[in-house]
Amino acid sequence: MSDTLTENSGASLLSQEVIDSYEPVIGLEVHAQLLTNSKAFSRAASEFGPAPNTNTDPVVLGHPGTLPTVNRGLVEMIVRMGLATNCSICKFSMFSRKNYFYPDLPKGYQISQFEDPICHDGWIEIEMPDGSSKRIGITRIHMEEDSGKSIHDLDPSASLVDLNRSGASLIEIVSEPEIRSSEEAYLYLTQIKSIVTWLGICSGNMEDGALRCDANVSVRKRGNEKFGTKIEVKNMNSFRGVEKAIEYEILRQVELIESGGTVVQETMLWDANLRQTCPLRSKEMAHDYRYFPEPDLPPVAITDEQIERIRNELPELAIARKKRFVEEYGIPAYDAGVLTDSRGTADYFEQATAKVLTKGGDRYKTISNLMMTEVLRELSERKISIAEFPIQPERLASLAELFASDTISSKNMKDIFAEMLTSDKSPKEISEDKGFVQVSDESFIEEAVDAVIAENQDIVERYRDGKTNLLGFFVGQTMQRTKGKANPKIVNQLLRKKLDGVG
Amino acid sequence: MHTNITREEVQRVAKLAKLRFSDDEIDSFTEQFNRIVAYVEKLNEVDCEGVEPMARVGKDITPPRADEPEKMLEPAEALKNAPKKTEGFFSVPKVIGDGVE
Repeated sequence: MSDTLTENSGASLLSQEVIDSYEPVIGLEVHAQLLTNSKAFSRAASEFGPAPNTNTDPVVLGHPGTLPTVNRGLVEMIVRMGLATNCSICKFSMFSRKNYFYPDLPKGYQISQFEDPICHDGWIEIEMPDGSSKRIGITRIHMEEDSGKSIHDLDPSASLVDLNRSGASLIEIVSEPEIRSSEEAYLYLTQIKSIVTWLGICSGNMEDGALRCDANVSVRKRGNEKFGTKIEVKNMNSFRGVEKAIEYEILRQVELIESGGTVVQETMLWDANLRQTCPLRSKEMAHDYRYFPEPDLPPVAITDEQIERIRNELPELAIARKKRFVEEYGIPAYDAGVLTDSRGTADYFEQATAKVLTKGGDRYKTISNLMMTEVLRELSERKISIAEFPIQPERLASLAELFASDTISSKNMKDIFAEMLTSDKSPKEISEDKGFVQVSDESFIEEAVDAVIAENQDIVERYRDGKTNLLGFFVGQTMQRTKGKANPKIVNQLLRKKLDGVG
Repeated sequence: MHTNITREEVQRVAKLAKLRFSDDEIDSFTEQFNRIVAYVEKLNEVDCEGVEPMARVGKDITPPRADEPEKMLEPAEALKNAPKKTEGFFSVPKVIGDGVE
């Protein structure tokens, strides 16, 4: 490999060899907005999207004399997250004040946790594209309150503040710097999303800010133990955006070092339109938060009994369920991955498989096929969730069974499925109404096959002369003669036997 | 051991607190800060070996409250103390950038 010296916008001037001689070191900080009904430290509603400043109370507004209270939902949800990510849970966990001035933070400080976060020293597993898995450590997960929203583009001379989000329940999940590529960062983040949505504690949407991600990125020469200077990258608002921003930042740092420069610790903002990171004009002393123990809130205590109860209530998570689907139902890993993309579809699949009368891999595969094609297409076209899907799992199971027992063709199955969307009739009834029932009786089919052969002797001769692609013609004729009821598999077998066997 | 608080440190604290002082006031605060620190430093004489750091007196714990929303303020009521407001928003001097940490 040699250095490419031609100017090529967007591509690096460095050879892949040089780039690969550096090892990226990445840690992610993920904020997840919790689906609590009320705010973290006050009883104002936590719903999003109403008119500005409708979800406020004196605590949210930071009025003097108000005192915070801790939301039980917040504590339960963060412990759920901690246990699902193999964290140790602190039995006594203190709150701290993080001090900074910003208009969307009326108190002038954020209630957060500093010294002893409630969850610490955990890990999650990410699945690599080659099928192997990698463990990424979780340093800590702590509780805090969200800030409000400032809007800068509505009024040319002022910033406008909406405090609906102010004080909302937030958790911050901090990873160990064990992520080694932008792809691993993407996989880690999507895994976090999968966990929070399966636990039902966060919507997992990055587009609306329910899930937010900042990345600490540095590079070092491979073989070096010492970390390079890290850059904090912010402002990514999609999963792919995080991957792209980190990819860009790695290359920027390698190029800077290779050209004799030095990486200086700073915060960069990702610009999704320019597809590059730009330095944030560093506010002087921006990182002097002067944390101190929150005097208004004694520590949160959690007992072993509470931890065990929450542990017992944890659902089986996507990654474990995917493995089990492959082992238990014999479906391909790809299918299992699609079905476990959301808890709703995975539950639906298992509700359907439980209703199958004759157990067997072909039944399960048919259900999986129906879900991956027909059901998911309907959901995306109608923009509905699986919970709102009109066909109940047991009805889908009996449709799959009709097909897998050779009673109907795959085309029939799709037609019946379409009918089932608007009808409460059973798949069998619909099939009978439409006269779909597939006939596998050999003597019935043989009669039709013999008649077709007898009527088309000229074509039989051409077939036997080597035009074997004429088989399709005979299949079509036989199907027509049986009004589409003959099992195509048997039609094919009989035709081959008679056309190839004689002569 | 005596800690010395410098004028620069006092200015830095003032800046973090978004407060502005005259040179005379900074001098005066520097002198006062030093006296306060010297007074508190007496605590260094106490042997704390093996004693857990304590953030608060007493062994209270926070009783968590139910996750149920309660009656809130009407937007008009919430905005009552705002020096400036625009269409239901608090209106503040222009700030650039996101304050989310």
